[in-house]
Amino acid sequence: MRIRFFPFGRKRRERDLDEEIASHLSMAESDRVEAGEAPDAARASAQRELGNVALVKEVTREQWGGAWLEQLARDARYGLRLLRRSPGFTIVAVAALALGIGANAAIFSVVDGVLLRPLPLPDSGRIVAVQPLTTATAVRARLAASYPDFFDWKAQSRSFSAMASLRLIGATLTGVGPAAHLGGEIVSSDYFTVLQVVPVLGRGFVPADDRPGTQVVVLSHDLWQSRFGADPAILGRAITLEGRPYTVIGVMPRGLRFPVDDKPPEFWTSIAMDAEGEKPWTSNRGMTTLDVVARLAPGATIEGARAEMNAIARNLAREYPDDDRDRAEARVIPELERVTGGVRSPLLVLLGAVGCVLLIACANVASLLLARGTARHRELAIRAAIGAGRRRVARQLMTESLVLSLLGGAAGLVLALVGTRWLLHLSVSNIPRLDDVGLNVRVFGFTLAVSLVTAVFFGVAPALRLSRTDLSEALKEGGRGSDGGAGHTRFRSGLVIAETAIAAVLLTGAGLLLASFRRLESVPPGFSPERVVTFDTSLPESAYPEDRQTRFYDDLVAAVRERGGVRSAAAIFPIPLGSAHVGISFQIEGRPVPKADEPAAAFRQITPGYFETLAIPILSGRDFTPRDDKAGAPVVIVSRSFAARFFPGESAIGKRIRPGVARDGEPVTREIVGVVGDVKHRGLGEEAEPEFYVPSRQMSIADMTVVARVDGDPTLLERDVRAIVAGIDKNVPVYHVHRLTEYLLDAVAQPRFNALLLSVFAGLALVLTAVGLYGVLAYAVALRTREIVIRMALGARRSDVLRMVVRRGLSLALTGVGIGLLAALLTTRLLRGLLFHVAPTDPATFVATGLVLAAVALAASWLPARRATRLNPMEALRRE
Amino acid sequence: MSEREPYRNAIELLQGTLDLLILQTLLWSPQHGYGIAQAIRAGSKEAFQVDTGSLYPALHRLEREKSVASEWTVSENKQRVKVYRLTPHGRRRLAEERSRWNRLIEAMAGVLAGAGSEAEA
Repeated sequence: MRIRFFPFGRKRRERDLDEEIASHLSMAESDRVEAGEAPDAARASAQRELGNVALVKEVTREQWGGAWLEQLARDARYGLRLLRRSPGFTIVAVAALALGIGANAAIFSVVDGVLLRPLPLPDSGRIVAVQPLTTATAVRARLAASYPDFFDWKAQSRSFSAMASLRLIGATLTGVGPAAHLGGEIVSSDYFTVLQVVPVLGRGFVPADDRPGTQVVVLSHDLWQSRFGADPAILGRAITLEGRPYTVIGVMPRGLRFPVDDKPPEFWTSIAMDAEGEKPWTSNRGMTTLDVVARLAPGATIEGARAEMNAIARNLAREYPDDDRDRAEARVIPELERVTGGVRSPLLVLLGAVGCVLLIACANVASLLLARGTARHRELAIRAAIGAGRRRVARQLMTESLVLSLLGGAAGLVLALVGTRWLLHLSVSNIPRLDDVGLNVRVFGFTLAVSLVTAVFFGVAPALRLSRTDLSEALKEGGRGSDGGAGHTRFRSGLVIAETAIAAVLLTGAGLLLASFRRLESVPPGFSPERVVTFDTSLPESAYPEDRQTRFYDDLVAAVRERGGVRSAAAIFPIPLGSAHVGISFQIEGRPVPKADEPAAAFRQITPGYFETLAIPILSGRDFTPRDDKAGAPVVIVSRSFAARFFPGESAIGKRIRPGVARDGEPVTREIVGVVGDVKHRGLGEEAEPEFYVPSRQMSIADMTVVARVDGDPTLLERDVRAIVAGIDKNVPVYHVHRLTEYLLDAVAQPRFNALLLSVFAGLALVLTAVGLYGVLAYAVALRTREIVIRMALGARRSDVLRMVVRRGLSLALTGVGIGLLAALLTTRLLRGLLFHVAPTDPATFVATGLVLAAVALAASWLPARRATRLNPMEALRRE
Repeated sequence: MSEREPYRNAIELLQGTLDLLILQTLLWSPQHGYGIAQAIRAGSKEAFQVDTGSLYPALHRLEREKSVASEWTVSENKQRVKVYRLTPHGRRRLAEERSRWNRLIEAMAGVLAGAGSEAEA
């Protein structure tokens, strides 16, 4: 049996072949000697008869099995040698490919990590989010669920093997080290069953844990390690959360994070926490605070589940019209889709953009290959003459393309590595799962695949065109191949037009996103964020009944104000552009409506001085004062859009409303004492919504954000806030120490990310297109040297020559721009969802794109044109 | 000039006949490449000059399609040589090639006979 394994078997066969030919020679030689020839003459004639030994071996080798692999290696070696011989071409081509492939690898690594990779849970494709949808408005907005609704869903549905509720909470941990604010979740007993995660220590929740009064907690692996030294005896121990003892029943495995678009929870507790008090949330159908997750039962489909949940939601809406009338629909979507829904379309747009960049790079390299191929005309003709068939020549050219492409891919991976770092550095919390992004096997595979496909894209056309070489013609034309050259030039002109068109599309898209971003960024948020320091504190309810909460925040704000450099300070919940949002329905005095028809508005609790601190204008009436407390009359301040919507054409001051919220007892009717400017609480791109503010002295809250405007360096205050709070109560944690400007930056982080990346890619496209145009023109000038110098000899002026070349460049570019802008008209509508106050067909952007491309084309044409005018006729003709 | 002498009577081998000649040569005894070339030359009364640039590719191709097998032996001159022999598959190939060749000759002869009588007339 012959070993066919490459290269060991190969080496032996090579030796065998050498020996076989050698023995042939020596036998021929000795036959001749026997026939009477002189030994020297015999050797010479035997060798002559055998012919070219290398060629004989070569054609023999080609008969071996698997010879194509050998040929591939040989062609690749040959290709590498060629590339080394023309470093200019190689650098330009590899750089173009590296940019194209690298951009694709970088964006793919993001798409892979964010969109494609499954959630890190067993059989995570069957985990779904169940959401009530509002049927009150035309747009079906996602709503939170209430406990009673959730209980009914769970009891009535058959499509799920398990269903659980979760609610994110913060809690203060005391008793182990300094007081810490922990992020956690209140979950129903089936939660870990839905996720199919088992604790590494102890147990998860059971239905008995949901009973009011039960205080049990499951710790995250991180918390267990960092705060409890990974103590295996932690089970059964009580830890202090919010000043109350909770018994540790389990520890979850490392890295458990759900939902993945939030911070990893540090603890989990049962819904017993929500089942306490006089009016517990677990029995309040109007209190919608829950996310619901479920696992599809074996055999159940998502469509079936959707239909079933819709039916259940409809029944509940009929049964409980007061609370559920507007929630007559439910949505069941894969959890991964819920997490990535908001970033899917921008990421796909970016993926499309890098695809375009790669196409341009391909066109460039194809064009370069053609130009070089024309110069290699003679070599290819000779190859054909010594018997290489067209297929053989085409294969060799393709192998060379492959070598180029793989070099480009390797360089691209390095770029992607750098690029991905930069992306991660750029981006913010707004893109879920971004921390999981990295270069992995899948990205490598993708890059390899892209490199191979790229080689086909840019290599096939040149290989087909060049292998068509007509031998006699090639030799007749003195190696330049002016005719074939002209044909190739036409093809390359086509490539340049295509490149310019694609670049125009990209540039238009980037222009639109940039314009949109600029507009978004210049939206006044309604407050002045400069030099405002913010931090959150959280009071354990057990140690801080209502009056003590009020006193704590009074003391804290006063202590902050006393610091040097602090101009004013106040406290609020929830902070504008933060993650929390509270909507409260209310009755307007004199216009009673049924509960289900009550209007709602955003609700905020503040201390006096808040409007001054954030520079929110008081349009009429007054700010709260310290006397607006329990003893004073109940008051409320509303925003301008609140006043405009509910009291159009009249003054809101003095009107009375009754917000449906109270700390204890019945809600009270409040008099409007002031109207303030609108604030973009939800995001800069959103319409300002109606809001009302109540004084925290009349309705206190345990968790507030302190805001302080400073005159000088904000870092001084930032450094001191922990000490200030500890000076009042060392068991109160301080967290989220930020500046208000950061909230604003966060609010535009994603549009900025999109605009920035698309601009980078459009810039790449522009550069590549300019290089492509330059290459084609420079080559056309070189081809037409004779014509140009003859024209000049006949009296054409330099300016005529200049104009001739530039006109050609511009006509190519402008054709491309025209096609590209038409294509952009059709494609920019894909961006509609990403644009803010900019139409996808924004004329200014389109005009600007055309101008930029024309300017770049002019510059790219100028250099070859100038070279044409500097031709020395004598020299040029002699060179011909 | 004298070196070209042996080539004077050489006839260019018809395409596709080299395989047949090689297989036929190997029918009676295994032989190395040089021996095959010599045998064909002698058998054709010096008419067929086998080009080594065709012989070895043909041998290696036949070996790959398992019509011949090879092994290294030591020749009478104490030289290591690679010797080819016919395999059963090669024998069947030979029979096929022969019958194809005979059909070709018959057809050619028929056509040429017709043409000949016309020329005589």
